[in-house]
Amino acid sequence: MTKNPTETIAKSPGAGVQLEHFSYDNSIVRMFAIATTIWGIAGMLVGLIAAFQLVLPDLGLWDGIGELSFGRIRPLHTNAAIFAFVGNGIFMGVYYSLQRLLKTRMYSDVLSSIHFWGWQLIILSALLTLPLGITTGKEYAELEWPIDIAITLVWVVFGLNMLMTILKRRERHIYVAIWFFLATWVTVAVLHIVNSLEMPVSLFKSYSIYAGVQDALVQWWYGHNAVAFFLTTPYLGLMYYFVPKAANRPVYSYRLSIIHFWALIFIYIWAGPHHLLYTALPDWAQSLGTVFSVMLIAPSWGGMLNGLLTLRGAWDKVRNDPVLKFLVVAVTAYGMATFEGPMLSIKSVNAISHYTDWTIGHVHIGTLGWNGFLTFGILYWLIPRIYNTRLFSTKLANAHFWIGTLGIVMYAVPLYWAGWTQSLMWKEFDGDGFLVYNNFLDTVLQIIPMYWMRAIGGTLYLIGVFMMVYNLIVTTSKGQFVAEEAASAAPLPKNYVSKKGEYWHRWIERRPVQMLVASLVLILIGTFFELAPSFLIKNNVPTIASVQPYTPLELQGRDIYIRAGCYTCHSQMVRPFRSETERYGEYSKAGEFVYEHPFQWGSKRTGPDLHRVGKKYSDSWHYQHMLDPRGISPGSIMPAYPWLYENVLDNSLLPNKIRAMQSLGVPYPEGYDEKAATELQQQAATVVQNLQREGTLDDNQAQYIQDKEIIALIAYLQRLGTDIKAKAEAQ
Amino acid sequence: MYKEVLRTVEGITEFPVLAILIFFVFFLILLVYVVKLDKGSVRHYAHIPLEGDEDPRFVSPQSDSKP
Repeated sequence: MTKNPTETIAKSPGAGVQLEHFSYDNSIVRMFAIATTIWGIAGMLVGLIAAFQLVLPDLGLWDGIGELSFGRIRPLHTNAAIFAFVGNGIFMGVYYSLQRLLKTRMYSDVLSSIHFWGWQLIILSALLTLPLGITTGKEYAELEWPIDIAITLVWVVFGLNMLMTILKRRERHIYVAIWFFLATWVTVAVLHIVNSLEMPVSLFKSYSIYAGVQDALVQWWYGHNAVAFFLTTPYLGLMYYFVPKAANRPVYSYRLSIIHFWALIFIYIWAGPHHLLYTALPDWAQSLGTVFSVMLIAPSWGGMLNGLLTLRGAWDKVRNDPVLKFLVVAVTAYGMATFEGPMLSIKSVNAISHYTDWTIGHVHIGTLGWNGFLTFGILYWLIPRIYNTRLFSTKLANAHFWIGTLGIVMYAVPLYWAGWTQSLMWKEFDGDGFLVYNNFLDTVLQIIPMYWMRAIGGTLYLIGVFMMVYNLIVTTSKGQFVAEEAASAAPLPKNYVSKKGEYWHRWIERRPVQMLVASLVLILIGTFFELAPSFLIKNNVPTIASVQPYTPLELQGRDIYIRAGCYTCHSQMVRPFRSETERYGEYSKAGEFVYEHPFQWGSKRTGPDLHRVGKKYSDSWHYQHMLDPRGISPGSIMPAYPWLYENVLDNSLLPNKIRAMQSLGVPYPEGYDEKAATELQQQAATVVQNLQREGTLDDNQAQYIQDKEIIALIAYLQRLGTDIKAKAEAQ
Repeated sequence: MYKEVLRTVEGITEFPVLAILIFFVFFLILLVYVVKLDKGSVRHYAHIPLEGDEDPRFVSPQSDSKP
């Protein structure tokens, strides 16, 4: 244990109680506060770029720059918002509240420091790798394997520091906020490790060890619970600390908070499959996801009401206090998002909402409202305190509140509208049974005005953040930073005697390690029963004999598809609806994805589904379309990919890739890694011949383009979803 | 190997039902526990975040809930 120089023991004169004098570490809190603010602005700026790319694809600012294309910017935005903005926000709140709730300083300043700088380095590496297209291709888990390992190590440092702090506490009872922190820590560790299991090909490239349906199930178990245990439970912990602090009222019902905690962490973990309704996921898993998602409304709303009712008798303060305003809207947004979530998990609602902008609106109620506003409320409350002064301008903070709220409304409402509109257009048939909007692009053009409003809403929200930054900077200049905040408390008596008739829960409430283990067991129950059957019961994924592994050229093309982040706008999952089979072709079967490491089902259709795009158009169509999307489809908002026509396809890793796939169970013949390059050249020559025959290329152009990346991408796109067509033809 | 072991567990498909039953029992016990919690302890726990707010500049004058 690090001995803190500021920690001394002194006898309180005449009190008869031995008080220990020590200090709280505010420096680490300030560092995380600065980090959450800076990364928050960066993440929101990147989000704005993405939003404007959709309405101004021809602006010229991002044309021809692969690093700035939407497919790479969008993962950068989500990663920055979740792990950089919210992540640092969590740590700011945890490091502030934990010390005070336990009446002790953090266990180790060194660990705090390693945690802080380690986390910032991880964010920096994300900032560098994601625009370069270094990605695993799994949503919200895009960072490549070396960064995954770094995340694990830094997470362990955070957990160790937290646990050791709890162990040296001066308050017997571990307050409910800390239970949420502990559950967050242990669950995020499990989620991150299980979902990030990858087979490295090189330092910057790996393949998920899971394939197809299994990969989808693991990914959305992770994705959903990243929302649950990174965006929700730690912030609930913060709510249970900062709402009572700001309102100067104890939590409405401590009893309810106990129920809230256990019920929430148990139920949340099961709900992941609601992201995969009507997909090729086995039906039982979909139903499991729906049932638990609907159940989830009970603990979620229990927690929300507990937060709001904490303000009973203090509502008059909400009128004047911007901190309370932010906290109230944050908790209300949590309530809205957790009502909407279960509703969206009902299959008939999901049939409409899924793949549309409704989902984007829904998640932004959560991130902008719940996470954003709670973070801002905490910053406005906390910064004046650690600077021993008052907030510079309450008026400006109130203005921030209103412009931020308006920003959220302007962001979310148009996207709900866009989601409904587009989904209904996708599904509309005319009297003769034909799709009214046969051209997908018609449904995109219809919602461009809503995309504009979203971009304006996001801009308003960010302007509010700049107002906050100004307000807080002036506040800090008027005060003096209290790096070491003096405190005193009586030590815990060494030999604690349980009271007679004490219940077991009282026992666990003062034992952090046991609490950690209990939380772990609870989340592992859901994890096991959700994931295990798909790995164990063979008939969950019926095999299709005609489904074959990708050729080397297609595999390379697929890696380009992943690098470009095509999955951010295109799904590869035709749902079994007539409106989809009419538009795209045969619905997708589980057995078609057995060699898909990682799966690329996607979760949003800004463009059409691509699962049956293979052989739908000519090679020349793809060639022209990737070069100039608007030349082929006037009005399209897809970016052009000119660099694919200049970059030489890098085949140096091909043997490694083949071997990695073999080790994951893809049945390439033995020794195929050595033959792969030759086969790749042959197939590339065939694609180029097609392009020549179709009149797209002359001899010189053909010679030039043969070894370029676009050829591999065309080969991949032309293969998509064709294996079962081959079967039909053979029959 | 582990797949084989799990596959041979009899009635493994019924385990999710068992899991939810276990949770409900746990939930009911929890419910009984929180209802029976003594008022003094609950009051103390709920007030833990409010301890140490000595700075009068930050404490609202209307506050009446501090023990």
